[in-house]
Amino acid sequence: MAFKWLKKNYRESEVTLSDYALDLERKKRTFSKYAVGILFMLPYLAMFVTFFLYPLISGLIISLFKYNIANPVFDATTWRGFTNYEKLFTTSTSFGADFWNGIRLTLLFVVIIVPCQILIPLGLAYLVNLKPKGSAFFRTVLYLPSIFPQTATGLIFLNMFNLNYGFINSFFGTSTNWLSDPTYNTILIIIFTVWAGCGGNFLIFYAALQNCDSTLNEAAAIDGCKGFRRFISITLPQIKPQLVICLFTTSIGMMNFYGQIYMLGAYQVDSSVKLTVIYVIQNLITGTNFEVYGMVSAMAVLLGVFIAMISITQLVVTKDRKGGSKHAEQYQEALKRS
Amino acid sequence: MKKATHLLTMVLAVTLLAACETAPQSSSGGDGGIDDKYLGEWKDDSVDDLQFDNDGNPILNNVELKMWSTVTNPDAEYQDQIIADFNKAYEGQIKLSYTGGGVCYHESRFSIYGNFAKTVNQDPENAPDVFYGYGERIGAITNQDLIVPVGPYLKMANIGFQKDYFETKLIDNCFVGDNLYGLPISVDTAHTLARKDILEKNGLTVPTNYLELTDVCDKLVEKANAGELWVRGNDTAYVAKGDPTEWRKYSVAIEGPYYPFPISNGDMWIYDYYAETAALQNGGVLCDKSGMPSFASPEVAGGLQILRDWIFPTETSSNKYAMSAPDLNYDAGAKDFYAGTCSFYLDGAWGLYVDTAKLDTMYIGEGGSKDNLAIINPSKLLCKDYSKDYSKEIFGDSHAISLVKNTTSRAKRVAGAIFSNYLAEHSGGLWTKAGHLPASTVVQQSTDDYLDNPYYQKYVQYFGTTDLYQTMPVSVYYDYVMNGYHTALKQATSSIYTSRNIIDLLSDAQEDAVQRINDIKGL
Amino acid sequence: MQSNIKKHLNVPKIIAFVILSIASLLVLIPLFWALVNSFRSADDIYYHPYSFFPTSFNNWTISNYISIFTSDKYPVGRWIINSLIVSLSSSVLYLIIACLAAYAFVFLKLRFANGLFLFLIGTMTVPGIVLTVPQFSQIYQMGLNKTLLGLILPGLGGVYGLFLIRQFFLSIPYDLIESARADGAKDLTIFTHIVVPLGKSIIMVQGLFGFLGAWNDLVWAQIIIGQTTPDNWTLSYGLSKVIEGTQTYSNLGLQLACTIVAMVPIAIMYIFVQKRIVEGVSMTGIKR
Repeated sequence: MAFKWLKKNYRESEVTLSDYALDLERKKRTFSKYAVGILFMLPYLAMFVTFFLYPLISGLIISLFKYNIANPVFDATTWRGFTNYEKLFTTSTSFGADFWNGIRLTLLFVVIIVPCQILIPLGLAYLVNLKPKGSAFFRTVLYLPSIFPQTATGLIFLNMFNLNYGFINSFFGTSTNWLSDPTYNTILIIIFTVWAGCGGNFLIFYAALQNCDSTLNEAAAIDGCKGFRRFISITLPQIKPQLVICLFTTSIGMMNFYGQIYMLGAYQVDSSVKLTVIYVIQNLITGTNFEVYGMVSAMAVLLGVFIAMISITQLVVTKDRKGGSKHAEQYQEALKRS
Repeated sequence: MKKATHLLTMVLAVTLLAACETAPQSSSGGDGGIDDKYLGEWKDDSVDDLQFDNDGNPILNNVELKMWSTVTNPDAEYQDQIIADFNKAYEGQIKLSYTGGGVCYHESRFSIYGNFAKTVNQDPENAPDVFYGYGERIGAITNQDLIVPVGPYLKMANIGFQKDYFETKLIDNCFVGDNLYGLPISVDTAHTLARKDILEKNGLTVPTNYLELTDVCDKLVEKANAGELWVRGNDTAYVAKGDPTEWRKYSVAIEGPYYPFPISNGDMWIYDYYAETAALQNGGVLCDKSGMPSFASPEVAGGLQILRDWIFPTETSSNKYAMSAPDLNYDAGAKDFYAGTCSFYLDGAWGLYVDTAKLDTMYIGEGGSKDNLAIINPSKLLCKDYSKDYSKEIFGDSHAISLVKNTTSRAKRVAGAIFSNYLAEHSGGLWTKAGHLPASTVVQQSTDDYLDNPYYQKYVQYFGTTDLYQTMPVSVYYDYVMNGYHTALKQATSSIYTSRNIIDLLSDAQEDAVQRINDIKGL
Repeated sequence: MQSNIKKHLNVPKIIAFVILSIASLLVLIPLFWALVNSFRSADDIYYHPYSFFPTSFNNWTISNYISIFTSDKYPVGRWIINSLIVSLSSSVLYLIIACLAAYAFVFLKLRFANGLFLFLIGTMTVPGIVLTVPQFSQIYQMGLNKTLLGLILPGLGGVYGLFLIRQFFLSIPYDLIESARADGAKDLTIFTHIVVPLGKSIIMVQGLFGFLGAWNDLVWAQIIIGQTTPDNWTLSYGLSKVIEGTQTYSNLGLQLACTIVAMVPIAIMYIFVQKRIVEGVSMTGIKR
């Protein structure tokens, strides 16, 4: 029978036993390759499906019901359709009001903090890349704050800025109430977030600048393009991918702004100034009311849509355009020719 | 103490038996020690695993109970001791224990209610059998279907129940409809401590109401500004005194402005007791009969105005000078009081043991706390018009113990009822040391347990009588009402909102609370 | 010409040095203050509130550290153990499954590999917050609420780490694998003897990031172990509870002692793996 099959498929050519054996061997290898492949991938895929895909879908479903986490029931009485979302789109319900206030606050923090967390590390990375004395030390130290838990460093800042015994007030001779006054508290939160968050981006930019083609920079220097202009036209385009990635991750991180506010805003008098969306969601999840989970899921989905929109906008805006790295490319060409 | 228990129980039982001429343990029409009208319409759903002896008493054989309590340190120690005493008294019959070791699980009020609700619903094996919490929240947890009435089990335990054995307001809190859902144990609040020695040295008397308090405080500040104020105490941030009994003159130039009565804007004290007391004493009500918030009223605003004037005096306030520095946090005045740089200080009733002990040590040769400390309860301390009855009211937290729904064994429920009764009867003694006033009128009149108790003599006698105490009206929206009120309070006494009217702050907070309640209802 | 260029290069370096020193100071001062004040007694803090250091030699004390390790309310020792369990398990387990999967994606030339991977990348745009409620409900139904396992499991479905590792594996020359196969080696052997040793730096980087992600996590800890007894808390969550209801002088030293205890293990780990981090980060950069 095997020969018949072979004759059918290999009509044109001559069929030998070794051909057949090789063919069988190949099929066995393919089968074992796929078997191994699936075996290797299975643990990960199992986790992915159980703890990512399944929750993703059920989260969407939950948001269409009134979900009582103590007594989850999916039937006609708990079906809400899109009313959860409708309630979120107006500010006449407390959920909607909290949500949009949260979005407004979050966006405010994003707009203020993201530039700081991109430009400051960029500048610091550039300075360290100039290799002044002790640059290894600086590199170690500047990354330090971002590896500690936010709650730990937040606790330190909370006490440092305390009105009664923190040394910040006594050192600068001021008596501002950093912890209760909404304005100063917001400033404190921003200072702390930038302090704690610069490390990660700093390292990425440093590594990127290290990988830069130094010959390019030198060539540009020799040709009279120096300092700031060189930095803008030659260096920056080379690290553009890292810049984009950092912009992406920092913005997403800021949209999820929670831990820092939770620690430093603990004593604030005006809670509407500190309740970002995640904070609102966390309060509801850890609260004592069991029936809000459908609404909370809707909030989370809506926030997710927001974040996705921002991400897509960023991806589109920073896409590689033709004229982007004109100068760098020209120099590369020049170098190659010479 | 044990003798008194048994005696008391027997007295109760005999009195009740004598009062109703039928034999106990008849389920229809008869009395058996508990008025049927306190049994309501509730249907007993417990598993019948209980036997009775010939006298109608339940036979309990090593019944184990688990208890959760909102009481945290330092009271938790005292409570554990009382529970240990119960275990000994009922050895072989009932035992309270907790899997993590110890006799009872304690968790702070901020998280225990949420934890309790979630555990009863989702993790029933780990749910407790009895829950010791706040009487004013019984309505809320009944509504969440977490507890069962204790009345029927008191009847089965042959203990019975007499409504007038308890302070009216406190026992009323434990009723939902006609069913008794818990037994009240005690009530407590925060009190004002005064440095009697400093006041007397400066020729002033200890105030008994708000107007006198503001008068005294003004005089103190004037003396301080003129450099004529005598103070004494421990080390301060600016002046080191080796000897707390040595008098010195307070120096505004070195030590800063003098504040006679610091109160915090940050946490706890002012929230939980004085702010609500201020509302009560001015005729305000925090929530109405249906449980919805009702604190946006001119009366409550009047109360909060007094607290605002405390820190930010105006032309129309009773005090000319600020009695407290603004924007202080928790434990405001704690160290200042013992340093002598303030003359009044707010502390919880449970802290009095430590406070009196401290002054006993500091002034050991000079009469200790007896001669150097005065305790002023909040009655009439936060309002200006003393002709009204409500000017004497004191806002407090009441404790009550309930049976948890998950425990379906009848034996356990009856054991729980017996334990609840024991706690109610033993709300004197050690519990008095912790500064709690007993809810049981029997205990209050008892000499052994209460009136001769050294701690009663030392400080509890100054706490007022339980009939003056008001707790929060029963509301299923307790959390929303309290959060709303506390938000308005925090804003009213903070330096950032001084330009806004208090009534506006209250209205905003109430509107927000009502909105949230409606949103939850409409989910 | 030479000397001119040299002179030009020196000034920027000096400016860089000055600015970087200031920046380092800003970073180090709060940490140093925390370290120093964790040795201060409560009384000292009250009587000399603004002093940066303990006021006299006698006032240095380790009582704060003793308190936090023997305290019932803040059992920091237990917190550290819990955090270690969760973080180590998270990062190690994830490394294992992600490396295996990445190997399959890159070296087995499976037909569906690319499509599947594109799908996985697509899911990277889904923000984590969307999953919080359903994952919480799921963990509840699995009965893992209030357990450490409930903290570990959901993180194992993440895509970022897999992405990182796969990108790195792409840079390993396929010829190595082919020749090993030709020599008759099984895939598992190739994996353990060739790929993993070559991928050491990315594994360390991902391991560290995974560890830190779990160690520093607050949101998920609040949800799962937030309402249990203090014994069950992780370090990061416990620190957030230390501020509850307290802002008193007596607690400053204690609070700072807690933070120092939380930060020292990380700092020590960091010193050891620091070089690798820089290597790893630079390798994950997309080269032009």
